Amino acid sequence: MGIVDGLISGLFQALSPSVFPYLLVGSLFGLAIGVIPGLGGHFAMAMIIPFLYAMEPSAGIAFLLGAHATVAQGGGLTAILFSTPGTGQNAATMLDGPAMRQNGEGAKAAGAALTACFLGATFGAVVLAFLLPILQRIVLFFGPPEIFVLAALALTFIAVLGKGDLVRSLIAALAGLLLAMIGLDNVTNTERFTFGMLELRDGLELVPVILGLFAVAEVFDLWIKGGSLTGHNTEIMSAKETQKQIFQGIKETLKRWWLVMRCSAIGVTMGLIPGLGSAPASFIAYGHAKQTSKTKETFGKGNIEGVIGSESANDAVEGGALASTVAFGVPGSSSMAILLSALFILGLEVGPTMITQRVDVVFVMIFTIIVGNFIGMVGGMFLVNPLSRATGLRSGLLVPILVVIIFTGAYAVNLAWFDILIALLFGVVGYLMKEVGYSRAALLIGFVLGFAVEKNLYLAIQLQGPYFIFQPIPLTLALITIAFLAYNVWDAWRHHKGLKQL
Amino acid sequence: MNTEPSRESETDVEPSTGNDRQALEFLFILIIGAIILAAAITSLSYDPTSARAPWVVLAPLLLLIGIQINRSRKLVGFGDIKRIVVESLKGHRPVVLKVASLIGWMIFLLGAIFLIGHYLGMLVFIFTLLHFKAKESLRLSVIVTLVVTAVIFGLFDQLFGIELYRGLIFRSIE
Repeated sequence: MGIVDGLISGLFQALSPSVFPYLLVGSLFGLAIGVIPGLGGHFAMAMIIPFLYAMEPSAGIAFLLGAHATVAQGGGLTAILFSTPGTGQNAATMLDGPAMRQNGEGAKAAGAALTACFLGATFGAVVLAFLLPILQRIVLFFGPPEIFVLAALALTFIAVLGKGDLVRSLIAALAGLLLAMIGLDNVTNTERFTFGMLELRDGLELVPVILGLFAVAEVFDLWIKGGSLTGHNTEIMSAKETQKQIFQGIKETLKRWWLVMRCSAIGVTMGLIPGLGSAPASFIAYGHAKQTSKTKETFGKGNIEGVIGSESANDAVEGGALASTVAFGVPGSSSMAILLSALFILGLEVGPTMITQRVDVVFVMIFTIIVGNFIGMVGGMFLVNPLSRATGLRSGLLVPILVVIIFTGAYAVNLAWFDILIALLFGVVGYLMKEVGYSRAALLIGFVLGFAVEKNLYLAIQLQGPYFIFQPIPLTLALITIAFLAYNVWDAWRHHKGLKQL
Repeated sequence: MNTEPSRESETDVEPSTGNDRQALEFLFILIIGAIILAAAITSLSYDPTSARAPWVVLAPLLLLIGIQINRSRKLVGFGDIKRIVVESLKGHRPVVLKVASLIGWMIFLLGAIFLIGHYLGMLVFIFTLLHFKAKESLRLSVIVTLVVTAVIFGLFDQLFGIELYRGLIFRSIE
């Protein structure tokens, strides 16, 4: 399928009556989840996954990506109005958003954040569309040996560039890979790591693992926190004043279109690098906005450019992150790992097949991001006050509801009671990992990549023999991986030695 | 003003501080290490083709776990783990108690689903937690319980055609 055919087909699919309602509901759901502190994009995506089994691919993609697209917008609103970032990626918005609220410009900041998110996401999606012809040529050079080494490189990046400790992140990533090997080996039909349990013969299901790691673990946090979610009692402005300020915020953002473009470019570039994610991108964009501003001294005291810079970057990341996910089947973040799982569930194959033959699906994703963010922006504009009230919910009220929905979702995948047990088990593991500093993202990405890693390792050995690694592309990628890892190990050792001498 | 880096799960590491966290990590990595070691021993009996990929992962994983256990051992000892366990059992650690209580409630829900089915189980679970644990009013507890159950029934049973588990008792009567 050609690019233009794919573009037209993708647009019609995304806006068709059988898909658009899912996009609308998903976007509003994501917005609401984003507003609730502690429940991020992963939670929204994890909650949606069980429903995908009953959906058509386009509807499923629209539902899932719509929700993911708007979470950051909801999170931005909470960061500004309640000084509590709804999601981690809005942390940079905390630098100027709450200060603007204290200056009586809360809704203006909210309007700017919503618009910057939409523009940033659109920028990222358009870049992805322009990258498609290039990616179509590159993927042709990628067979099993290349994909195997690329997956190893991506896991190394994720482990090293994540905020956590290198050893802990690598342990999490490798443990994820090992989890993917539970069950019957497709080649020899040997049961592996099942310990005699019949339920494990088909391996661990993705959905209960995702629900456990990212939904149950967050529920533990809510339960421990107790009380109201924000703990802040911010005065809510009148609807008229709110609307007036929101439109001012939109106007101010459009006036600073060049800043939006630059910060979005930072976001897209960082999205292309596995493991970096949107939080560092938004901090770097914030720094760039400050550096290039004529009013540097007001940053941190309520400068709208700080809000625009960080919010446009954190949504632009998705375009870059999607590129490596759909082209090579290598997710760069936990959100993309969940998306990859969702695409498996929907019966879609990523990699060269998708990028060359199912371009329409890629364009459904692109239009979903754009339209979803637009819905989020409009929804956010008119629902600022009601959405703000969601933060006043008590965790005691939310927890039982969430637990029931999560368990039902885990059960619904295979109608298996055992899957609920898996969700609970991984919930405890996920919570402990969070507490002791092990990256859940690395574990999930390892788990999702595990299937591809083993399949491609087997195929590479069958096709090219054990020395497949010495071919030009695998060798180059392997050398980059080794050099990158070696540098970081050396750096960590040097740092450790320096601390000892102090 | 909070300028801490994000808690997003791409970089979702949020360690608590101090000796307790290190002791908890020591316990965590010891348990994980034991499981991985058991997996490694089991995999020795596999066909070489089936064992190849797991050992590509197991070898560096065991090495890294060994490194991490050694790092943790330098910071805390078995005495710290014992102290945490004893204090938790005595009820001196509210966070542990809270986590344990939620796990207990979740196991209760699992058992309820198994015995009386999904819908009845969730009715009992939500109402009990809301009214007796969260001390919400009777009216709110009843409304929320019924609405959530109805929404789940509407979504799963009616919209997506997924029949949820009816429970052991219902099945044996049937």
